[in-house]
Amino acid sequence: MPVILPLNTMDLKTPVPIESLLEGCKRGDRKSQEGLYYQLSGRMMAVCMRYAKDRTEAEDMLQIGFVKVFQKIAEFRNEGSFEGWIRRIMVNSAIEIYRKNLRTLSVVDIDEVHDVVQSTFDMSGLEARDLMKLIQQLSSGYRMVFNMYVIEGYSHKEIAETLGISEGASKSQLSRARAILKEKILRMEGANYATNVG
Amino acid sequence: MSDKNLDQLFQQRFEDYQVEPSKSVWAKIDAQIHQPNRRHKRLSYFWSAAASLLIIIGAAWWFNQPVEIIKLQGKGKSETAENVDVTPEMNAPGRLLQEPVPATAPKSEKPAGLSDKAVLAFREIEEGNDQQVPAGNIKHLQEVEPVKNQAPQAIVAQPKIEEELPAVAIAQANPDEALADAAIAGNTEVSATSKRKAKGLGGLVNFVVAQVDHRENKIIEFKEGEEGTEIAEINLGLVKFKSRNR
Repeated sequence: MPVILPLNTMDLKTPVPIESLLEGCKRGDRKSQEGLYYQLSGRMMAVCMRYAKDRTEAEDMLQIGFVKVFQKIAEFRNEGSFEGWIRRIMVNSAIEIYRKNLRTLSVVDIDEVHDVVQSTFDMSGLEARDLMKLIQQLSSGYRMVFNMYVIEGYSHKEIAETLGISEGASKSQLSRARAILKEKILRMEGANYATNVG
Repeated sequence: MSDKNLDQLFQQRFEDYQVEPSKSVWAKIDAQIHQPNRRHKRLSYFWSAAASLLIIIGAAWWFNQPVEIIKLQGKGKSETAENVDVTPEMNAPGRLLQEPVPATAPKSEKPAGLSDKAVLAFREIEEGNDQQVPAGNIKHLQEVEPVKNQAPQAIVAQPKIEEELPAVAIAQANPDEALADAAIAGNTEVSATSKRKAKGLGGLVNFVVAQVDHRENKIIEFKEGEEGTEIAEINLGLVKFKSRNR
């Protein structure tokens, strides 16, 4: 069941299709820009949360991502999904920030193993919020690859080019990420797992 | 759990997932898109100011160019004949001003330019300077002397100048001296005019520069010199120039 948290709808009481805000944004109309932000900030924040190591970093990514969207808005040529285009910019700027921080932080490539609290509800009860925690626990290299491949749908070739790693590294990092996540979910599920998942 | 199941689990759960960011984020975005980076803004402002400045400087130089001294004795006579008629009205009786000015001098800065050259040429001669006096100046000197020697009445007036001309008596003595007197007299007189004009252009430039360039040594600065508006100093970072007299 998807979790929808209330958004700040202060400026735009009723959701409108974001395509209708496109023209205003191209003109630099502040109301349109604000409207677009409030319509999409929830979803885009969720995207950034997957890529960031914590909430603060996620908000930085969100801010930079939206600034880029508004600066590049003229480049969007009404082909394809407007939200998809925005999402790609968001992911790209998240990756950029990740790579930038990579240079300043030393990345230790070990699994972060936490004691996962055993919960009694089954996997269908695993909310996005729980999965988000699991993803954020992954070390950053695994997290990037998992996000890009599984959620964003990049190919290993594209991941390799974007992150500056080899395709082989992308594949092995993906399989490692999957293994860790499975293990953690299993621990969370406890005994119920075997009966619910085929 | 298979890979496929895992993938699907994550995909499905995240499909419509939303997280509310802090309220401050929009304010930061708004600030960045509507007030671009200060450095960037200042930089583009600087360059447009610099461009305008160059245009103004160009105009200032263009209009302050010393004019080629033209009049020869031969031509001068017919024209000075006209001027002789005009001048007595303008000058105090009995006193004539010898001013190296071409008969057609519509603007006040032309006399300024000429007297600049006259003074310059005179100084160079007096100091026995080996510097090459511009050809125009030499020609001018040769013209003036014959004029003086031959016709005490050879006057070139400045009919367009509104101010009263401080006339100087032409001594029969040393031609150099007379030339000097004339030149200086003419110079001080027209300097007043040219200075007034200089305050307009140079002062304007200085004002514009002061708005943009807050350094001690500005990119370009004008001053009032003896010879009219001069560039006091230029500071382009790599290239710096300061006038001697500053």
